Amino acid sequence: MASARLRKIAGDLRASRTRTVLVTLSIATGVAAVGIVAGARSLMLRTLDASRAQGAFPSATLLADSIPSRLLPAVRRVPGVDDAELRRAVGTRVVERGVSHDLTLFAVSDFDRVRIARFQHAAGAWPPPPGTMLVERSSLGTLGVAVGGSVRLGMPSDGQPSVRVAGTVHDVNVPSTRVSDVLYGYVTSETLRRLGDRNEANQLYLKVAGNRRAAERAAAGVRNLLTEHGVVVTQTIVPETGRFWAADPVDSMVLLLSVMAVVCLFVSAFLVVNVSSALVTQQRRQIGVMKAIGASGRGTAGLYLATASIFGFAALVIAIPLAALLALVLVENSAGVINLDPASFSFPPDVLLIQIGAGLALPLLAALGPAVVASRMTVREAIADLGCGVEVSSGGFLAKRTARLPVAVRLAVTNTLRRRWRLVLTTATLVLGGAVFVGVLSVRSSMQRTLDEAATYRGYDVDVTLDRAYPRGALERAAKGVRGITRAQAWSVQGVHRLRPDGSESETFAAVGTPVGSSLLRPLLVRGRWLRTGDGRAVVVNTDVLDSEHGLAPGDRIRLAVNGRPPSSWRVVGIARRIVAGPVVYADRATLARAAGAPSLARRLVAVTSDHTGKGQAEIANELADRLTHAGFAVDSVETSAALGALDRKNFAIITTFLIAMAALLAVVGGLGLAGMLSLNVLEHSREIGVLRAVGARDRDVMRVILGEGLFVAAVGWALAAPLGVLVGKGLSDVVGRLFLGAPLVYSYSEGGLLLWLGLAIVLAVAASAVPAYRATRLTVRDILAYE
Amino acid sequence: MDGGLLIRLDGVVKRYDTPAGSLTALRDVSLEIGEREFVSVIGKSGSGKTTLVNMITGIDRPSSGGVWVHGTPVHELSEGAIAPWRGRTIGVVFQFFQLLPTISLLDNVVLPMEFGRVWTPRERRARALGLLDRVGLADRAHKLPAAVSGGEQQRAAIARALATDPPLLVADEPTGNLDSANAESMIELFEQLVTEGKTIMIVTHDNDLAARGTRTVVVADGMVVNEYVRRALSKLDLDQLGLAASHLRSETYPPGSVVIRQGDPAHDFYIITEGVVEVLLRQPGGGELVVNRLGRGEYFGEIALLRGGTRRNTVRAGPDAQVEVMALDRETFDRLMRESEPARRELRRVAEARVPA
Repeated sequence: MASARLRKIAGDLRASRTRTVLVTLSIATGVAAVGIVAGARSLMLRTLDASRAQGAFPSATLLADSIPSRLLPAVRRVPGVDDAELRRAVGTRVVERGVSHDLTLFAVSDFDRVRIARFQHAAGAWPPPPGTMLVERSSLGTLGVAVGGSVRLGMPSDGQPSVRVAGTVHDVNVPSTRVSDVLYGYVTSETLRRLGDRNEANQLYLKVAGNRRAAERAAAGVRNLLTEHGVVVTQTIVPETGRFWAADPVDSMVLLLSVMAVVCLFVSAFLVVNVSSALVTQQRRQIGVMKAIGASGRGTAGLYLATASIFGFAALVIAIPLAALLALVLVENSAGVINLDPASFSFPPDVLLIQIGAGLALPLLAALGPAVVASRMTVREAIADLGCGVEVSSGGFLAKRTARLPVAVRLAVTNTLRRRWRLVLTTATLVLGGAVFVGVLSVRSSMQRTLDEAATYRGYDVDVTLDRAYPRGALERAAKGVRGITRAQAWSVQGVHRLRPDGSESETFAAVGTPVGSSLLRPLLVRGRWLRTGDGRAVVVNTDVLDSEHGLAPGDRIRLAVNGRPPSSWRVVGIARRIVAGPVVYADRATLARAAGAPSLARRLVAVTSDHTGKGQAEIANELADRLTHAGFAVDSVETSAALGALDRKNFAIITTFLIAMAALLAVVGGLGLAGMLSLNVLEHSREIGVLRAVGARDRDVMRVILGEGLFVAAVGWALAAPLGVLVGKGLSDVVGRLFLGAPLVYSYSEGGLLLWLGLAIVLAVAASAVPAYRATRLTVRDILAYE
Repeated sequence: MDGGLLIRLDGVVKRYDTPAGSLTALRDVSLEIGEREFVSVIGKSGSGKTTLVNMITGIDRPSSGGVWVHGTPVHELSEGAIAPWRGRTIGVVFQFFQLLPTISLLDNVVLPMEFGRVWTPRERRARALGLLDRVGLADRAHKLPAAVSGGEQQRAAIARALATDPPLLVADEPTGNLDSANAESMIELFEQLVTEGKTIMIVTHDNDLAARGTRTVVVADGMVVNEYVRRALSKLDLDQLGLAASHLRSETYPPGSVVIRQGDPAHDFYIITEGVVEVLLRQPGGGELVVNRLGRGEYFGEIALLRGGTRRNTVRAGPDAQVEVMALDRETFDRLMRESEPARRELRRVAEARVPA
């Protein structure tokens, strides 16, 4: 481009600094959003890949009460199994400062020869000396002691030995304590025996080549082998191949970020369209002059496309480093929450290319329309004064119907309606931004509502899991003897797997047997109904079961094998929303126990307390655990509904904080767009302002007109955003719910969010128009009306 | 006319369709302008003078008829071809200067050269500085238009119009926003440019400014007033000329034919646009004596109209060639004489000289 034209462009940009800054920032926001999403996703994927390699995720995990080590060679020979390892996991408790935490203690025979479900040395000793333990690094803070300190472990075997914390490990195979509120400890097998647990391993990890189906087949083969040797598999976990435990929430966040990025890009595009068309309109005479002195249509269009490109370049200068920084911050924070170490930072070339493409293509595409208008404008249209041809007023319709309103209001409305396309784009900005803003806040309120409704799932205050099955009656009697417990019920937990019509076998699901009609369990049903007396062999499955058993629906008949026994036909009567992670099947307690060949045995005990407060529940729960342990029942874990609810809310708080941050960013982006467009309106109305002042308008009269325009646009945008926000919120809620909970969230429209957006839109409209309006009132009539 | 033909308009009509109906801005206009002419186009507001100039610059297109400038049929050029052609062929000076506000005077002058892709960048800057120096603005070359006076802006606009060395300069009301001193210096510049070989066409409503040109084209009510009519009725103002032009009708008389006969009632006033007429006086003994011969731009028939009564003479077309006249009806003539004292005095003077009362 030759220099005089380039200097003209530079001069135009300098002449409207505010506009230039607003447009550049808006594009930069959109491009940065794209960069953050793409960069964070790329970085997170590399982090997950590294973690996957580091953690050597098991292809399948089988849980049983006891798995003899002598069966390991046979397991390794099962077709499809590449490798297998045993580990014992014991549920213990740590009581620190009056607060009880579950601690899962993993016993490993040789710390240096772990091949599956690996964990890495983080700090302190390795391996832990006899009588000491290592803790997962994310557990150290909650544990309340430093490396070298000691804790008392409440063992299932009724001991409370003191154990020194000798160091920390980093285990990517377990959810971080920050998310699960469960502590993790690692001891040698010898140390576990010293602590009073001399049992066999109860977890079997398999490494299988191939996809999830192959892993299922291999796991089924191993299960059958174990069953033949009298080992009852209570649960099989076969995750998606290589899928990290936190993949779902990460996917949710990436999805939400992507939505935000797209919205930001659209808003930026709208602003560039408006600015470009306003520039062309303002420079109408200049376009005419340039064409009169020889500029071609293409050359004229080139000027405005070049201007748009400069916006894009400037935006890239801001957006690329900003996106890199924020992507890193986002990943570091997210990785910290889920206990990963972010991969080494580098911005992939494809992410850079995406940003450059967005930064350059978006303004060019947005400016294309106005540039074409400029190229086609004839000199006559631009500057010739023929004294004929009257511009037909487009405000007549409205003028008749608003005759009683003050002139300032009418002027504000008709001014806004004169530039229809700008009004459409401005409104689209507000509608899009507002709909997503309200939608995002609706996701938040939907999550809250879902959590609240989920809390009603549990009709009990305390939930005790035992490390094996015990007589139901004895458990209930022991519980009822505890002060503060008003009701106790023992539930059986069996392992069931499905024989599919194609002959393949599913993983083993945990099957919970509860008395039909029990008020202590009130699952939220997504489809079908709950169990009823007289159903016979009927089950309700949770939504996680559907991950592997696609298409299951109420009314279906399925073949289930309970505890490895011969399969029998069961009817699916309902599908319940997932509350606890993992596939769970619900059946009548007695029917399930008969099918398991273990009548009257239970592995889980739920109780209702007299004190429903968190503190009260915790105290009673501790006492119950102690009582059960003293009575010879090995307690694996104890949870209170208050603690579970608090954990859910804490985890969702991470997501809701993120959502609110997104909503705030959308407000900023929408505000930039609105500010930019209103500034254009004021610039173009400078002449009218001069005329108003020439005929006696005071400063506040002028400001009233301009503010009126801004408020009118804001009101129209808000009114249209309200219904659209319903759709957006529902859509996002459904997707987030499916990713987090396996089912859509219970939808709750955020009326508060809608009102908040109204307030924001008003504030933004006032802020966006007040400054230019004030500046306009400072100009003299002569300045404004002087010919350019 | 010196030099060859630069501009030719042939039967140009321009109509606009407006919500209020069809408006004819130009009615069958034919015009020729040669090289090195300094033409003033005058007419009151709404007369069509700007439309006429827009036809020549290609800013507007005729509804019918043709426009040739420097040999190019402008009316046939596409929209895409017109702008570069105009940049090389015509320098346009606007009434309100129309300098681009965000670039310096120097860059404003360089711009047409860039669009026209003429000269190298270094040559363009040098030429631009030279042109600004010529108009006395070399020391202000790097200032923005808003930092200089109106007169200086207009001079810069002229420098810009000369940037690509076009043969034709068109200026629309170039002195409309200048004080008298600046206006005078600008006109002198135009006169200088004509001596250097440029053709200048200015649009103005100022008669005094128009008189500085070598030729005046009067536009009234969408028509170009015939040159000879304008000369004949030179004391009429533009409105009156427009009224006259709209009532004139063209008549042709074969050689020797009678236009008006002595003793006949007087109906029309005649202006000769082509050919020669003989003025005859009946002799007492019979026969007629040629008492006068009149040619292009002269008029006859005014005596009976001014003094009343019948025709004092017979006027016939000359023997050698046909005569073309523009005839004005009595009613319009009387009205013009009532409204224009200068014109009435002038015609009375001529009438008195011809036939003393």
